[in-house]
Amino acid sequence: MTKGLERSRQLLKFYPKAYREERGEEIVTTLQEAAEARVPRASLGDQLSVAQYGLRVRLGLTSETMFGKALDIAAIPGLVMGAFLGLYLLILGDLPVVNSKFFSPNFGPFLTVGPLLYLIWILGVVVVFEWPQFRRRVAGACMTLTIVGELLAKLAHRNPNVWEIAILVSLGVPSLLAPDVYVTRRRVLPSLSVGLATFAALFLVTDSHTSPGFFNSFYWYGTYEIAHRQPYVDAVLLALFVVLWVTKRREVASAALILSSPWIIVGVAYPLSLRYLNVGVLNVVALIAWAVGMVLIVTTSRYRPRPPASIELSALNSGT
Amino acid sequence: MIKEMREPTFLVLATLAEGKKHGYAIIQGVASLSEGEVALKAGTLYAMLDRLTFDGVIELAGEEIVEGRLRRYYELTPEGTTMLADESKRRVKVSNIALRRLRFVGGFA
Repeated sequence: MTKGLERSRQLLKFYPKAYREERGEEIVTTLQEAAEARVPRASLGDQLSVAQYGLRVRLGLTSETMFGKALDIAAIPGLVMGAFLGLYLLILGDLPVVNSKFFSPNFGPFLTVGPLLYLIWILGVVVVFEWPQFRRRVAGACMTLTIVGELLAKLAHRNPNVWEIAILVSLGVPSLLAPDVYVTRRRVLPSLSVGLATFAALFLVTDSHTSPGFFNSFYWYGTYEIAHRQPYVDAVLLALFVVLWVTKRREVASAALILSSPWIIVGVAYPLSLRYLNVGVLNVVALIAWAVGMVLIVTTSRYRPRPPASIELSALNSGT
Repeated sequence: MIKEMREPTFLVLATLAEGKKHGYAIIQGVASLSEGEVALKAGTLYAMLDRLTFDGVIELAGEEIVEGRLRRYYELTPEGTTMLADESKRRVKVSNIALRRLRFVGGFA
């Protein structure tokens, strides 16, 4: 066995066994033929793409699966949701405490570097609406810059609340994982509706005030209120999920479940991180229901061998 | 079924319009049709073949062993043929309108 052939076969380990048995030899042949055409060996790009697709098949993240379709639907709305969360934090978190003399040092006129990070997400959404094919790169850049910004701010300035930043970063994950790389549809109106609904829900849930002062700002009470009133949002989400599921819009229902993930997780993780707060029972119930839903989506999206008909056809036409 | 046909999908289907082809032949066909503009990676090709098979646009058309290697062939289904024909007509129609307009403003000889 040549070194190139051995390497090609090793790449197949990224694929689930059933897929490997069905398509493995065929993929190795294509890699070998591509390698011979691109002397001396298959390009790194070819090898990486085979490994990446193998991981996608293994995780059920392909265009044919429920998980993959749901991620495609959730991708751009997730980024828009992040931008509106940023906008909300800017208006209700940072602006009320702008030029605060009480907390020092500040980041310019703001309490934290948050506005800079939120601006990245807002700009990211503008770019994605104009060039949706760059959705994955934009999401990657927004997520990376937000994480780096948060870490640096922790050293140099006041950093934005880590829970809000965790939610923000999580909202980019669907764009990063969605299988449809050639996306060209913008879906502006549905995406903006999701963003506006997020903004309105945050405004209502946290009983926000726009009057100045730290103790009026989101930073004083926001995360607590999100965790405290999460069950109301969960009830709405559950009703939405049931309606979408019953009306056979199951990919959209799954997308809603994916987009609600960071909020439901924070609803339990935030009080869990503080000694003086109790975790709400309803939040735990919501987390369990969410986990069951996600397990179902992932399980139904696992690779299954092709129906016997196509395999018989293949054998029937065999040239051997 | 595919709602909108993107360039790489169109090129793969146009390559298969010539007849059944195996993996690397499709990569070559796409590169040739696009004059080198689109270079499909092997992983991307199999993601597309899986999706198009799932959508009923292409199907397996047999396999053979060549120099000890398994080649699996794909061809257009009747639905795929209709879809490619419709998309090609749409592209020709739009291109013709564009060319007519360019001639009208004198921007194209």
